[in-house]
Amino acid sequence: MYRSPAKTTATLALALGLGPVAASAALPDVDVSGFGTAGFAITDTSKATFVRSQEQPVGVDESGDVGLDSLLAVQATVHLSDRFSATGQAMVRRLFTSGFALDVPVFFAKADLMHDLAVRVGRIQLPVFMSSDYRQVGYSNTWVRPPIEVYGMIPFDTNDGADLLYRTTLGPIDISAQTFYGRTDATTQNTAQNLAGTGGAASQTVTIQARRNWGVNVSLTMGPLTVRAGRNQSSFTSISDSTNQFIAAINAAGFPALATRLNPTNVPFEFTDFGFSFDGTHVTLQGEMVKETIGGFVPSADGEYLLAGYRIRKFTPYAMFARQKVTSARTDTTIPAVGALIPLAQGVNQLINSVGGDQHTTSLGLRWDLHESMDLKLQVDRVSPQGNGLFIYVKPGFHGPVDVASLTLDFVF
Amino acid sequence: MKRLNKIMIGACFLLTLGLNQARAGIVVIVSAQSNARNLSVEQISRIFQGKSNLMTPVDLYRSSRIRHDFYTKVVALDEAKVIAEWSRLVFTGKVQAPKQFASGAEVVEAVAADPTLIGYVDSSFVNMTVKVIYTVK
Repeated sequence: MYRSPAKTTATLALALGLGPVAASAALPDVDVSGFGTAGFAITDTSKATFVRSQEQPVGVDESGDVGLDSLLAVQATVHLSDRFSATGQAMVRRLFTSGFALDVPVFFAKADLMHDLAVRVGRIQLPVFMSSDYRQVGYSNTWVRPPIEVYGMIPFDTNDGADLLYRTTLGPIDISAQTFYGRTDATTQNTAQNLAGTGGAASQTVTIQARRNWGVNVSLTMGPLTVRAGRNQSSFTSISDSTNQFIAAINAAGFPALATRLNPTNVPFEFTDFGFSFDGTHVTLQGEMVKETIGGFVPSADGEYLLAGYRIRKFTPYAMFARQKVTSARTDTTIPAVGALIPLAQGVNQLINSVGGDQHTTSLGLRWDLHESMDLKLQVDRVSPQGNGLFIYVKPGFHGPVDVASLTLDFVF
Repeated sequence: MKRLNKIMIGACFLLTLGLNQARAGIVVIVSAQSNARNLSVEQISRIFQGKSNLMTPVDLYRSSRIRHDFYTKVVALDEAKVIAEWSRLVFTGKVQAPKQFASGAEVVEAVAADPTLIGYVDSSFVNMTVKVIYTVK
């Protein structure tokens, strides 16, 4: 992970068939680094699958799977001058597809305007949560994976646009601030089993378009304590054929106001996050509280988690509690459930329950720092969903709690 | 036999002396042109953890004993923790990891040329081009 510019440049020069003189004269410094996780997870149910994030179309069940947490990323930064650089990150993981696939979550040009101020143009990780930027870097986190009750609230996680980064030190306080603007396009699978209009089909493609993403966040660090506040908003659109057809049917049945209210096209999306971390010699604590409001049929929700660990030499046992609570109405009685309208009335209620859900999880884990850039983690989660909660491919007869056991090996290089 | 003992005692003495020198002699340096005043050990620790951007840190290679002693005594964290902290910054693309050098002489050369840099070396490498702002006890 650490830079050794001379060596990298020399290697690059050799690869290009250039001599060492040409290398120092013509080629910019290139840093190559990376991170990864090799993981296996298993649950105790066959009636639903557990996912790491909303974008993941395939989850894990009682047969166990390596696809939930395993990933490999390589990052390269080219230093064009003291002030200008370009960075790209390529990641292989199971995110938008059912198998492992390559995606590029980070790709930007950076200019250091002043010592304290930099601007980046390109794609960055959407910086909404405290650990958004490094949530995929298992080695930099105590947990095996971010709690889905909180980190799974937003169905898109990159921003294409620009951001400004400000860092300064005032006496004992280190300050970091960021503001960004941009847009996001993502394709996910909605796998809620009884999704209205799909006739019970297992999944359908959902296209997410976030426009006019705008946000700001500020972190203050003093000694072992960091506090962070963040706020962001977007104009949010979620498109799928079956949902559009169903909303058209509601309109045709004589409920245009309801059809408009359920339609998730250019609806306001607002997100507020307060977080803190305490990283002492032995004690490590981390927590966040988030509030999300969103329009259309997509539910609004609150989420919180708290993690506490105690480091003893190379071992960090930890415990975490996380929960999500839907704050918007989960039933709608606009369409009277009588006669021929019953299927439509039921469909509306299935639609508004098709994403998000109340759920809480209690986790116990152990992180073992095997080596200076490698750790091994074992984590057991007891996941308690209300109804389907945040599980996908839910079959009849599913109920919680569900136990999930995970083993991961994280590394950076 | 007696002679061997003497050699061994001598070797041990030299080894101890050598280790003591290495341990006692780590200094934190900035360019002679830098207007940085004395930094507290707390500030230096924050700079080398990537928390503070008062100055830009440069490192010795990971295998270096000087580096190990510096992180243990000044940053007061084990290197695994330091790597985890820097990984957070590096993989966001917000901050670059410190440049690494093979020897104290190279650190002195780099620091002398750029008044925003801060490094640590064995005191024997210090020359007129750099100034010592902290001596590791």
